[in-house]
Amino acid sequence: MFKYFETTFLILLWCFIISILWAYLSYSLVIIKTRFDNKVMDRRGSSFASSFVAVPALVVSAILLVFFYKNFGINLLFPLHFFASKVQLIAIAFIPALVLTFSCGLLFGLVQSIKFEYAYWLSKPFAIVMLATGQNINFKLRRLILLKSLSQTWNQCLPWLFGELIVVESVFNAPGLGLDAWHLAKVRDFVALLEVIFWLVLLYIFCRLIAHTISSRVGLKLTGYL
Amino acid sequence: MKKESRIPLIRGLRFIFIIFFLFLAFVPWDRYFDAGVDLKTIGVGPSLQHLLGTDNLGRDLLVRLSSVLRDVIVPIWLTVLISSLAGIGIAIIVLLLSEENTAFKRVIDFLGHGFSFIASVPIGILVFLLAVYYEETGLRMVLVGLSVLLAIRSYLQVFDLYAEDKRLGYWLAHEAQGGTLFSRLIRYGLGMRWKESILLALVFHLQIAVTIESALSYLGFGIQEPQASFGNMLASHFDMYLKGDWGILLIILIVMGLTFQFPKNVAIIGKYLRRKFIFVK
Repeated sequence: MFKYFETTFLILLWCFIISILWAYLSYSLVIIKTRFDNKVMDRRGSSFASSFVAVPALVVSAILLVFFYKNFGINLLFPLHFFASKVQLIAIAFIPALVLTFSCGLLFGLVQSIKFEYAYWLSKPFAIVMLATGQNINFKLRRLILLKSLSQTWNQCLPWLFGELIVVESVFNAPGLGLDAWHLAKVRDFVALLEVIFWLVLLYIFCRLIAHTISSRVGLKLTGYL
Repeated sequence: MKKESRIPLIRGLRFIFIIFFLFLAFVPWDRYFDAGVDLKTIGVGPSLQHLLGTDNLGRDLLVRLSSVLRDVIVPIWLTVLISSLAGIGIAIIVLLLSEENTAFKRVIDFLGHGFSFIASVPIGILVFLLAVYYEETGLRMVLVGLSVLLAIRSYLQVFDLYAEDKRLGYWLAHEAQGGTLFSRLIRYGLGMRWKESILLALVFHLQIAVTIESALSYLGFGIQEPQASFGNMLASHFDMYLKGDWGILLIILIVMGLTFQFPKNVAIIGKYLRRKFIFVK
């Protein structure tokens, strides 16, 4: 069971890291775009972002598998756990995590949320005062906006992320809880299946609790600004 | 090209996609092309005999994909539509009943917590568990799971919208003038402010239903061969496109893309036509 738990945890950890890196990148791009256009970005593109939730992970996974194998000779399927080194396992979990973050709408949801939050907080009196006195408002807002957008988007996308987990693990042959659940369901081993689902649900609740805690802490901080 | 000048072009493309989808789904292609297994024509490319080529058993892809749209996607969409509308209807009735009866309101509040819990659990996992638990493959279990879950989501959405709007000035003014809750829900809610969000949620439900069915069929718990579905078609041709036969993957993906975008395209074009021809009059 630990082996399965480890792979799923690795994939989720990669999802978390990808989302943080993406949030930083999006924030920087939003600032650059705002400076370049000399106006705050609007909320256009929101419907575009939400439509990506419905892109099935199995489609993205299949395309990536074929693309990498044919063009670069890289096999994205998971190596046998017994023969693979730790570094290899950590590295190979990146692509399933990327597929998951893409197909559950996390990446596009983040961009949308950061755009909206930046426009919203920049119009607040304290931000205008800071701008007028020549202080670095982008630095001040960064942590706040990133935390809020990350927790909000994770809260929204978690159910889709966990829903697609089984599919992604089975396509990439990743020996995680999802793949194990699939195998156990095929052989009708309901007791073991219940155990796996229990761990999956526990992991889901844990992720949700983290997102919720961050969200409520940011909420408290925001009341200070208001 | 400026953004504004691109809008008619995109609208035109959406319209073409709608027509193309309907053409693909509702023309009886099996009358014109042989749909049976033919081992001599495995993996043949597009030709006059097989407009989109053949699959790994020599069956005509156009006929297979058309049957996916007609026999799988359309029933799923109808079920989702009916269950979402039922969820909205039940929510309206419950709101009306709970206004007058406080004991009933308490029961509904209690049930609401349970529904919220169910709605927060990943739909994909729930439908997967349902299909496994009842040990039944095919479309029926997918439809049952999706209809229950999406009805609950629609029900909760109406409750959320009501909780947001009930303290609005014109709602309170209408109440103070002796207006009924029913007329407020219909006129101000469903007829005005909620329309957009409900439509968006409906489009999302239709898209997500296709995604979940495809995923389940891919895993082998949805529709089984010889009946076709996007999921089992992708799964059964996995070795073909790993060997470099991209054609079949591309064709399935294009039709899947058309299917995902169909509800959204219909909503956007419908809104445009309504604004252009009905609203102006």
